[in-house]
Amino acid sequence: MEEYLDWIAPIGKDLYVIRTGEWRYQKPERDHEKCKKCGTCLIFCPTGSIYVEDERYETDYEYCKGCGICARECRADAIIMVEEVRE
Amino acid sequence: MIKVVDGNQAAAFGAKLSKPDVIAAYPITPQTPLVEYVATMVARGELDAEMVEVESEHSALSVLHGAALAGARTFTATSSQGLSLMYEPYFRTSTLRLPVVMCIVTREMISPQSVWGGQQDAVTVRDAGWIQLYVENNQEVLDTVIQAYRLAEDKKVMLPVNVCLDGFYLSHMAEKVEIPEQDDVDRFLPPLKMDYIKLDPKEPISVDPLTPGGLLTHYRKKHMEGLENAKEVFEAVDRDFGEIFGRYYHGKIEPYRMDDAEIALVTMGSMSGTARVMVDKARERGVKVGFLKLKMFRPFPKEEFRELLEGIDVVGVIDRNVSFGFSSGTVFYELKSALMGHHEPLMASFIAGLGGMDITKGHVGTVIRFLEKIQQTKRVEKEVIWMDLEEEIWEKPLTR
Amino acid sequence: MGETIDKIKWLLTDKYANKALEEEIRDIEDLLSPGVSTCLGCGAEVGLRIALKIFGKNTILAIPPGCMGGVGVVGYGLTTGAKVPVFFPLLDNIASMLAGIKRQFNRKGEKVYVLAYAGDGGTADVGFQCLSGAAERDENIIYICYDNEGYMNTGIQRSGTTPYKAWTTTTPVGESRRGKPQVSKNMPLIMAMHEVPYVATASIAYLEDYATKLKKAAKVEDGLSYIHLFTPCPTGWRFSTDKTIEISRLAVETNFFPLWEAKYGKIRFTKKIWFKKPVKEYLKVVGKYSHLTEEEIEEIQKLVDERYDMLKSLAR
Ligand code: SF4
Ligand code: SF4
Ligand code: SF4
Repeated sequence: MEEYLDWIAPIGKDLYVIRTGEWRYQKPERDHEKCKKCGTCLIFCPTGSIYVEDERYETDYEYCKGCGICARECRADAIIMVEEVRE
Repeated sequence: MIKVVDGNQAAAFGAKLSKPDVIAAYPITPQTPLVEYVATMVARGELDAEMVEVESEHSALSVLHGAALAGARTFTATSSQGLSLMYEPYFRTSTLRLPVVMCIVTREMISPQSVWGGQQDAVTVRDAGWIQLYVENNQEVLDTVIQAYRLAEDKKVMLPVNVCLDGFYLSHMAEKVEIPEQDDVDRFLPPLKMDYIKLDPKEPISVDPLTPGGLLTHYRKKHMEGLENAKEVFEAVDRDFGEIFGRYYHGKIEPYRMDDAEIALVTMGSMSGTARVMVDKARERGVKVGFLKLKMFRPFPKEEFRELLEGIDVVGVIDRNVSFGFSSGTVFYELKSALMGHHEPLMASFIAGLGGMDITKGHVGTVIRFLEKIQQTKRVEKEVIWMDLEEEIWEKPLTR
Repeated sequence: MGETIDKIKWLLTDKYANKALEEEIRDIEDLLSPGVSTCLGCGAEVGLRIALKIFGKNTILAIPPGCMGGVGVVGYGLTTGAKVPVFFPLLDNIASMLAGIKRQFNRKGEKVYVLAYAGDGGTADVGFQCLSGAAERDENIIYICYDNEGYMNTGIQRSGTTPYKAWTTTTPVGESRRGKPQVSKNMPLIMAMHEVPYVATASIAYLEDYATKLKKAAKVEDGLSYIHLFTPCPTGWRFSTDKTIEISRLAVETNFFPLWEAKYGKIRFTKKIWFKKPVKEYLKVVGKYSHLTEEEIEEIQKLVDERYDMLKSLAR
């Protein structure tokens, strides 16, 4: 509480982040063999969760909400949605 | 330099001398000439500012919000319906702590349809967190606009200020006004510095995120502290102004012949000039009457009123507005509640000058006689008097 | 037949367009918080992330009340949802606040993109007056309207851009009323008729086209630019969350939402549809149209054709 006592007007400084990956009930899984590296899934992912590492397309499960857009838009059928299992 | 100018022009000079960065305004009677004066100053190159001729009053204030968040000193003016259209950004100007200066050329609210004077517009928005200063004459219009920037931008305050001048009675009446020198104004008014809230890619922050109740309460309290600070800061601003420009206005409330007074009048705005004359006249008759000209209506100077009215027998408040809901003049009930639990004089509320009606010497004289009667009988039989409707209180028949 | 055409189309155009955009943006820092609470499959979220990548850090962003504000783009409490300066304008003063910011930055001689990402309510309804005023005054601001065809943040109420017959909670389907009785306000065309330097429609199914238009908007220095972005909303339109892009594409392919741009009022199509699909194909996948009869679909087809013809008559 102390730190904002001299704040007089409503502003925000630190980044607001929700771990949206926790919402997921289905999860995209990519078959790297099938992946044609077309980049389509990366641009359409609403949460911006797809990235490229070592020339492979990967999903950041911290924020992926499991909407299924990537799987649907992939023309190579490289992504399937599987049920999310959590402990 | 002495010039003969009307109140709108005086306000425009005040604004010009304060060097605003961005001006946005929408014309409305009786403020229109003010916008024209400012636009002309910009067109002639006498005033180096961005002038935005917006499509509504709502946008006028909204443009200033954006500009102020980008660090600009800002100016606008409005009236009546324009002010009520502005209400949404109006409230937000103060709650974002943006030091905007806005003249309200006061005018009646409709309905009934009217374009004439009255303080109903400005008084109705009294609790939206702004500072409101009401002035008596055109010199005071000009001076107060400059003072308003010093007050608004004081780091203990950082709140928007209204300079309220009576529509037509001041806005359209020409008087001799001394126009201050730019150098003196620059000495009086340092440049604006805003770093507690801003929009700047060099320092990316959010402005006005969704705010939970506890934090909102914190901001409300800070806001109220800012308003309270304004009371003290304004006294200093007025004194400094007096030293540089040789005109001193006695801060929040100007007392006139109050030293040995037993009866006090309270006035706000241009009617104070008439009150001055009539108090002198009554004094000639031996009536111990003085008056208090209320300049700072928001924040309401409770403490100072308590001091100034200590020991006074009778107080009459003339209001150029009404409080629907409290059923009296607005300043009357505010003063009454401020005095509660302190010395409580007998009080009466006089409603006059609505819809452009003049508040004449006759009005003020009648008020003083009425107050004398209360002092003699020690009784307030009627608390609220509609000056222009109640013939029986007048000595001579009313002419309308 | 339909599938073959789709495939050819993909191979000839979309594939390259998508790849080109992907290569351009994939290494650019995402300037929005990675975790904001949009619904799954939110179309508006893609549009915002791409826009921020194109405009970059030297941007001031207005997010009016609405979905993007509600999900935390302006932050919560003492936080911010973006890595650029971001603020809540009022729902009805978006363009005016932006104008004020831009004027002051101009005055200071500093260049900055002043950008709104606003829903259709703040754009076509309550904020329309000030947007029109800013357009007329040639305020140098960039205004993106993400059109999800209704007030989604308050829970799916009709707006000026809700289409004819669409279901919303305030245009319900019953015995005597079947969805919205009026046609949508043709917002992008109205903006084009302000003859501002740049107006365009865009779709999240054609992101490369969208990005190109954003870049054109960024170049404008003599007035306002406006982009009307079609962003389907799974929650409010009633379709499954994976279909957002597909539905956007269908809207374009059926001419329900044609893609065009206008410079100073002069209209030009940016996406030619070679094999136009019947609007039925679009309507049947969107839940908010599930009540439509064959006759009603016919009627909508007619309206879509008429609007398209009108646009064609204006285009060069
Ligand atoms: S869309 Fe499919 S093929 Fe293209 S990069 Fe993503 S996973 Fe690979
Ligand atoms: S499921 Fe949705 S959120 Fe997750 S990676 Fe795919 S497109 Fe992105
Ligand atoms: S309601 Fe629709 S537009 Fe709003 S966040 Fe959800 S999906 Fe996006």
